[in-house]
Amino acid sequence: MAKYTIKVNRGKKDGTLKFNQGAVNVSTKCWWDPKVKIPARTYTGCSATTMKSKKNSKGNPREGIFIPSVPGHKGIFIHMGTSAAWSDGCIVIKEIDLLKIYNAIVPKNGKNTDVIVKDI
Amino acid sequence: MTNFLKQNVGAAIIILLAAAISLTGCRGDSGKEPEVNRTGDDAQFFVNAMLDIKDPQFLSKDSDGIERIDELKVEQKWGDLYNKYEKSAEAGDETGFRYFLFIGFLAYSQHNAELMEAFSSDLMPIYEKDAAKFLEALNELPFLIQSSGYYLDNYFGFEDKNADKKPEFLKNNKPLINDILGPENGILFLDCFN
Repeated sequence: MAKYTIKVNRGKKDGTLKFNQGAVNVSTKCWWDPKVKIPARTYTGCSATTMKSKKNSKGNPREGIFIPSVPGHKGIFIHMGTSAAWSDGCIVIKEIDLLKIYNAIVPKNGKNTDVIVKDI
Repeated sequence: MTNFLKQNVGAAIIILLAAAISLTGCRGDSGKEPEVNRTGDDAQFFVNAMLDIKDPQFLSKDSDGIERIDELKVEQKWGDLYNKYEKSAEAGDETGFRYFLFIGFLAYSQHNAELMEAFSSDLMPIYEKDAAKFLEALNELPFLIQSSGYYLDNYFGFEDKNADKKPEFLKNNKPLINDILGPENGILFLDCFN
């Protein structure tokens, strides 16, 4: 089964999220709630999935990358958003970029992705 | 948050255990069907979550063959329960509404980001539908004030919406809040709107 890697480099207020897999190359701005930052580390066993309690711009379940085993937090995703105001702990990127990553990761719910969070 | 938990977690567990017993006892009841299919399983899930008890139904083997809790499955279960009780609360079902607020309390206590973000969007419309009923529930169950107040405050500006509406909300709602919650709970609630 293919393995995937998402890199999140966090600055003071925002950061850059990168994903490279075959023809899919994403490098995009990302945000998080500055009051609720998850620890910087490598998270293994992450999954492309949908969030049952939130909707995307089309009114369907919101696509996201679920990050398990986050110390002191639960329900952490990378999902759509355009500023820190979309987060209460999650990392957010523009929906168009999130969908590129979501569509590239197969199978869904596969625990086949590493998310590396670094403070720069 | 820690002090908040110390003060409230005991009360919450007692309520949950009572709910688990009561709802399990109702299962198979030949009386009137509830508006929402509530079972003791939901209450059991809440108790397990609060006490960090590993529920065998969420165990799965990782890539090293070691059995661990499947956090994705657990989160999906939370999402199912959120949707179930949000629908119930929106429909005006009193018990479902209280369950919904309780899920909000658990999400707040455990820093569940997905659920906290969902409540930040979805709780205000339920408050506005029947503010008096909402506040009466908080007055009867004050341990729910801080989490509910957090979500209602977070509504203003969340996802870059409604940022300018908080002053008007407070102006319009303060009399009702003070009337129903009284001085002590009223201050506790209004302090959430920093």
